[in-house]
Amino acid sequence: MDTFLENSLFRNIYCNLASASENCAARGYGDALLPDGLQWLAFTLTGVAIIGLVVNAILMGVLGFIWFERRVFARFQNRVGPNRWGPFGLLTPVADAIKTMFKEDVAPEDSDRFLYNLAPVLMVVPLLVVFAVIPFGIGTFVADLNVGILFILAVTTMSGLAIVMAAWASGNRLSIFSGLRAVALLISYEIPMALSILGVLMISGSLALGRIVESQNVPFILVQPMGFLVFFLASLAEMNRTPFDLTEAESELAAGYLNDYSSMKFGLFFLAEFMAALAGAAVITTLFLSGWRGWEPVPSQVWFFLKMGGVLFVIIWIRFTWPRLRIDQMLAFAWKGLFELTLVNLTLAAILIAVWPQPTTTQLWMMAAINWPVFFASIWIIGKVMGVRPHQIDRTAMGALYPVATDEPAPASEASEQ
Amino acid sequence: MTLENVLLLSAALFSIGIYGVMSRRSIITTLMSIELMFNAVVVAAIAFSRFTLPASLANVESPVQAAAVRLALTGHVFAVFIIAVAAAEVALGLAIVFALYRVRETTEITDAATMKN
Amino acid sequence: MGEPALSGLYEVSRVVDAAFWLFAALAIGGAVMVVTVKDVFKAAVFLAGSFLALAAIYFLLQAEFIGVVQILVYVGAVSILIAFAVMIIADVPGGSRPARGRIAAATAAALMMAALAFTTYNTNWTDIGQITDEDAIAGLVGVYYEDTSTSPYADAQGGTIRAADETTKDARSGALIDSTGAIGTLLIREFVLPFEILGLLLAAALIGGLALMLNPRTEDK
Repeated sequence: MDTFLENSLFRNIYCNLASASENCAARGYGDALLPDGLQWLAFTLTGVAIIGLVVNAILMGVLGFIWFERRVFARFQNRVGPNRWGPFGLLTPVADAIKTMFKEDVAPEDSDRFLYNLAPVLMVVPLLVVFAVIPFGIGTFVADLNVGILFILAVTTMSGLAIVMAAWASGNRLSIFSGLRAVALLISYEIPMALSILGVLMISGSLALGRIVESQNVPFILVQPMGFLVFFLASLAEMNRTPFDLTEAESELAAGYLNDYSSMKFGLFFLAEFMAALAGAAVITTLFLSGWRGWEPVPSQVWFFLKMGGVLFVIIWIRFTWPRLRIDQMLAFAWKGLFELTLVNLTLAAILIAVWPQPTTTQLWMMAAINWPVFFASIWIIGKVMGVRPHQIDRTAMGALYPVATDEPAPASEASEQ
Repeated sequence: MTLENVLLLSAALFSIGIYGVMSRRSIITTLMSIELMFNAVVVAAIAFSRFTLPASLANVESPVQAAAVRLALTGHVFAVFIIAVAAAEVALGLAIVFALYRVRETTEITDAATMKN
Repeated sequence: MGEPALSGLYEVSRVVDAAFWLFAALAIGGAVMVVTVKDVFKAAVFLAGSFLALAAIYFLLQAEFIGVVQILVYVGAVSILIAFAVMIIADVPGGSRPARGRIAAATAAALMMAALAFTTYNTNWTDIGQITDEDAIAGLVGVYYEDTSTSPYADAQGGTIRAADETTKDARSGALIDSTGAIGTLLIREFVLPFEILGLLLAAALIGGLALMLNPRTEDK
């Protein structure tokens, strides 16, 4: 209850509703609206009000993000982007939503209706819950859990179950294969995502996101560059965005686990993808970019949203400049590249924390100075271990496979050797 | 939310698990019922850790007594071990089911009861 | 002595009780559906739902770390694994029909439930609800307050209750509130041998799973 009342929004609503509450009286609230004995009703109403506020705020944020992405998309491709609906095209996502709602809602005959309807809901709800734990400013959070970051990791693994349900409920084998591939991708990238933040947790000494932000006198992107890189790439994979969006790319897919969804159920999956991008950006801002910390006259919430906007811009930038990876390349990258980087990061962070248990600001700068050379060295080593450089591909063998047209007949024996 | 109520929940889950183990024909449903029983035990362990009072709780001056206070969380440690072992067990159980299915093309338990090679 | 400021949860204990009964009903309902539904995939989904309700109950019991571990391991991994297995095996075409021993199974389950319920209600638990000693309650919920003159613990063991006023955050230093660090310390100090054996067991499970699936007689791996 004490942490509930530290939250200023909760305190304002609850203490104005509940009377005869000693905790509220100790904080200087006098009269109240509800008669005595109804504190449980005040608690419930406060909870419902805060949930309504937060969910609406997130949905407005998603609308804004959809607009932002399409404009940035367009500017990267030297176009203008949507500018018809509303000033600067700001109402375009609203038009998208209305269009999606009016489409016909067909379902495959073979599908299991209960699971078919449940899958999009199960995809969206965990992402809403992620926003409940993130501090958007000083004292601006819904619940500062003691196990905050672990809660976020746990809840994002639930989307794998939603994908399995969607794949099965669609009823055809191709959807099942596509869904299995997507879940294999998600599970493979959960491990680097969880291990990469262990360095951050060791330095800040707590799993609670409020404590992590408070302990970032130096932003952790400077102190833990390896952790940041691995977490960023693993989050991109969890969000199913390029370069990892094989499962939903329009040009690659004959049938996917989303193919049999239409109208608002597809809209919910679409919404879940954008909400995942927002949630990932918010978590990266909190963990690595020192959250709401900034300089004084600008309020902390503004700093948080500025940093989150920056991360979102980088995510959109990556989507429209990097090519897509194949599924076996993605899995090899997770298990051979990112996983080893996290182990190196973990070892280095453990050694540094053993030397400086509760680092002050200067010690954090020293940790940063040690981390960056190790970062470059490990990327170079792992790059050597993982793959062939392009100029080392044997072109003569390829020449036998794809012969240039000459007067001689094609060497059929060499071609069949390949 | 007294101790008796939580233990009643644990007992109910355990009994439902027993019913599920003994009355289904598919191996996978049996595995799921075993998972239910594991969860019932974890609920009981957590409830005991939360509701029963160790004797040396109030004095937290010396490290020995701090260790005694920490031991109130033994139920949580039990829960961690049980969850880990149950997850490993269900993974191996499913691997065995796969191997069985590859050989026999069915997962009905009454058919697999014949231990012919 | 005045009224001690107990943990403020007493104000909303009715909400906590109602939430507990709601999640308990969801968990038991999910479990009943698991053992009665014919379609094995739906049974797996109901199992995941039951796990989720149990995780909520762990949060209500102030076992936050275990609640999160339950979601991470059970809902996020074991449920997906069981759903995978159901999808790949394409189980018994008519679904999972109940075997012939249904009556015997129900009898056994009912007897077990009766025995456990009888034991539960007839044992004299030292329940926190029955403890009227405010020092003990303060120790359990993590708020310490200052009045050592009338505390029996101060006399019997010669120590003192740590005093903290309402405004300092030291009131939350009780090990039972923030359990993650204490669980970690227990795993490394008092329970280090089972912890290492658990690591060995997980490695054995990993190797065993791979050995079962890599069959040299067939081509698929």
